[in-house]
Amino acid sequence: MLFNSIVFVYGFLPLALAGYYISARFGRRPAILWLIFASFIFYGWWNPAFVPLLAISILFNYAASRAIGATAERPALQGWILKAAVAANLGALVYYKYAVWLVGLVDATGLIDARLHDIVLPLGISFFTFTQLGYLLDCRHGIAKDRDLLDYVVFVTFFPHLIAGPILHNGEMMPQFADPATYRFSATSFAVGLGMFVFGMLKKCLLADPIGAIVPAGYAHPEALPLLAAWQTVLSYSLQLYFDFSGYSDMAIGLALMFNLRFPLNFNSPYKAQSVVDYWQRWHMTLTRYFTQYVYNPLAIAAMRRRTARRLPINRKAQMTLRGFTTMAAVPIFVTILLAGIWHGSGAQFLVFGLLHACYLTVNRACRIFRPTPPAPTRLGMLWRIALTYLSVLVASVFFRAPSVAAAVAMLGGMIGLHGLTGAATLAAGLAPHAGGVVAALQANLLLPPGAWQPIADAAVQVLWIGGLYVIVWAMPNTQQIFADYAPALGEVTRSPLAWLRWQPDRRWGIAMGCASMLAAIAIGGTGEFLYFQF
Amino acid sequence: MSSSTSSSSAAAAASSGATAWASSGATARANSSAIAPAISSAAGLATPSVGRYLRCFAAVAGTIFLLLWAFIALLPTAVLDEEYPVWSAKQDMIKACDLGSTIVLGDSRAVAGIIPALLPMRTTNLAFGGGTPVETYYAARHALRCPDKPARAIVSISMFKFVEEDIIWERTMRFGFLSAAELHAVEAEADALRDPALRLAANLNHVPAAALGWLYLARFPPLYFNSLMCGCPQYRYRDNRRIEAAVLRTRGYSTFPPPITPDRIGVEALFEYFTPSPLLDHYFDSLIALLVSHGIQVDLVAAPINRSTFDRISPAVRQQFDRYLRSFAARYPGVRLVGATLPRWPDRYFADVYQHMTPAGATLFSRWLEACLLGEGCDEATLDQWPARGRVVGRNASGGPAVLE
Repeated sequence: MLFNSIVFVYGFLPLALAGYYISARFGRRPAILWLIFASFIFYGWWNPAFVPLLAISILFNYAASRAIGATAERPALQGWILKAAVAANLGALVYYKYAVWLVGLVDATGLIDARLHDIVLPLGISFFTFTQLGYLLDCRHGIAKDRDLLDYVVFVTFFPHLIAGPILHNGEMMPQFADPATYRFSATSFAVGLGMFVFGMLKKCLLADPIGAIVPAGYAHPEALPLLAAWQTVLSYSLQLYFDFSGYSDMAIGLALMFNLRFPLNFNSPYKAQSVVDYWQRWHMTLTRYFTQYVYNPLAIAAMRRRTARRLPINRKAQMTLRGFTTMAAVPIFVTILLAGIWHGSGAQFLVFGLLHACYLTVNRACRIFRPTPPAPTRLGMLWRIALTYLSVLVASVFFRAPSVAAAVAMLGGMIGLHGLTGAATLAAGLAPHAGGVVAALQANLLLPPGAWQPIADAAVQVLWIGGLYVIVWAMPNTQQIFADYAPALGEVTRSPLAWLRWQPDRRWGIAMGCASMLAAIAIGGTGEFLYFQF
Repeated sequence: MSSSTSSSSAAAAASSGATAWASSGATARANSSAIAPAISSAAGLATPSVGRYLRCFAAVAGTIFLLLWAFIALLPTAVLDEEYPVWSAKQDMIKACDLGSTIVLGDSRAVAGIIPALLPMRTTNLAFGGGTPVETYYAARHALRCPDKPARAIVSISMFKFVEEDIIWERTMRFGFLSAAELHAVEAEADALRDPALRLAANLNHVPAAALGWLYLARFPPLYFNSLMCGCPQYRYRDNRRIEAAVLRTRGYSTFPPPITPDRIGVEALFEYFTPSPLLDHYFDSLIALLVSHGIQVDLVAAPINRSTFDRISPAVRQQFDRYLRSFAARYPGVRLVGATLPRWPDRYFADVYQHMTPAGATLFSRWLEACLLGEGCDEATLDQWPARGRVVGRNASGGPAVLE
């Protein structure tokens, strides 16, 4: 079920909320049972065939966590149990997500005749697998304390994060599920959550989907796109991805708040980042946190331990040597980001995407280590940093979206004019329907006769549309900043710099949000799927 | 001791290094230990005004929603696209029961290709844009409720409209053509035949098919959002009323808007084989049986396609479609196949990729049909040769002289 679907907004969500607060009157456990039931309905709506897979995964991992807890006194055995559980989880993930691609690679070598029919990817498998792997690792390290089955099941299945994140940490969610105060209705939580949900829906339905309408056509034939059309496609996708994921994250946080629970921040205006390091601290923040905690840190620590064992220094000065930098910084970064790249999907293009970001981050890290601390940047310097960071991210996003490496290279070729310079209007039709009312009115008044002016009008609409979205991206506060006074999420949230854009539960905001909610509530009729569902 | 110290210093160093590319894993734990209780107490900003805010929110949202709903339900002409008045006009013609002795049933190629005014008997074109055998069957059923039943039905459905029921939600239900009972019957039939088309289409909306049908019939606003965004009500209302009046005037004939792209290749060119969907095959069979049971002469007429498309259709596909149509003529008395099953005409008579004929092409095709109905030659050769007669002088749709080519 999608958050931006009719059945979710008009059916599932009201029922889930009502059932939750009614069952909460009878205690914590009935409320949790209701949430689990609702979450399984949510998960199985698209394809009930995967519900058993989710249930098996949860039961298996819960049993593994109990076994890990029970063998705390026998570290070797505990280690083997953990390894087996991790292998089983990753095995399932590899089978569903990468088997077809890997077998295809083997087949392409010509050495073995191996083929595999398409395997349908279970919804959210990357997310619920990673959530549970984190829990197992935390059990091993004694960090996960709550071992209650119901708390565990609701932590994994709670529907606002089940199929597209954020990737939750047991330490931040299970105490909330265990706290009886969570199950008391809070009008403020509900109002803030509803507001964030409305903002998210508006981003998804009115910004991401319309701007993304032209993207599939552009990426289907990148070799045919001249300079302007290539840029138009790439910028449109960049904006689509931004508003899609931003909208999804707002909706997930808002939904959790409606149930009086707080999620961690997951998206914090990443295109305002002044470096690629900063970008990863703002984009899909919970994934970054996860990879840092469970991949980067162990790798970096292992590298340092190896050096320590060989009586080599591990301080900052040691990192300034080529060997020290390579082993303690570059290798962990490359491994982590390559894994993060292919986490998003199978295909060589995701490897290249990871490789590019690994290069960016390594250069960024090297600058921090080898260069003396630079003075605080001027306003112009900040703009330059933001522009350079965005351009780097934009180039990588071409590999992220393209169906293959060759297609991505062709698109980049188009962006530097290898396929000619003109032809932006070829894709103009994509947005025209969304500006239909304005164009129809102009045409009807003969201000804009169809024919000679039409391509110019379409192109102008496109430029204005894209430009307007960049104004929102770069000049406006994000949703959590607007609601910052009411601590909508876990983590540091700064207030909106624009005083008039700070949400308050007053009549002015009530009217504005009432109008916005209706726009969002009817806009769901013509929308697509969230991009992050495919991961 | 030294090992322990080195491990902890390594961990500390790694942790500080980690922040160089991403947030530290320690953040999550720090957060978890500092989780505040519910927002109301955490922020300390909960006031009685939250209740007032929520009431205000609900009142505004509810009022807007109801107003929009009323607008869409009461004035669909101001909301829906330009295809709606064509469907609406035809439904009005059926209700008025002034159909004449011949009805035309079929899809958009029949809408744009057969001009009732040029046929030798009083004719009404009841074909629908995008219409499949499902819509065609129900158009016939609705028409046969009239006391004066037509004597002849010209049935013209393109090859690709037998393959997939792809308009039932976006056209048929959106335009209010089928009742709930009729939709239920179609769904039941699709289930019985294990044809997943309707269910799949419904799943795209994440709503069960039956519920989606009711929502369309109730003109539920979210299902009409695109129309609301794309249309400017004032101009849509005016334009749609004009189109509706024109369709009523021409007794169901209408053209499709530019762009004129005559050499575009129709979708049939992509077919590797022709197999009708079980559901559409069933409804086509039911249509023919229904018409025959009322003693109506059925002429199966295929609208021409452009030569560029024809040349790309594999001979096997052509043969399969030909066999399919001929099987009905063989099975049912009073059913005949008129002309070729895939007539090919010069590209210049076609307006778009959907193979809709231009007015000139429609006039010429209707002239041929007129001659055929008058018994002056209905065979395949005559149909294919007709455009090659060169400059054709005849009456136009209004009865005046028209020079073609």
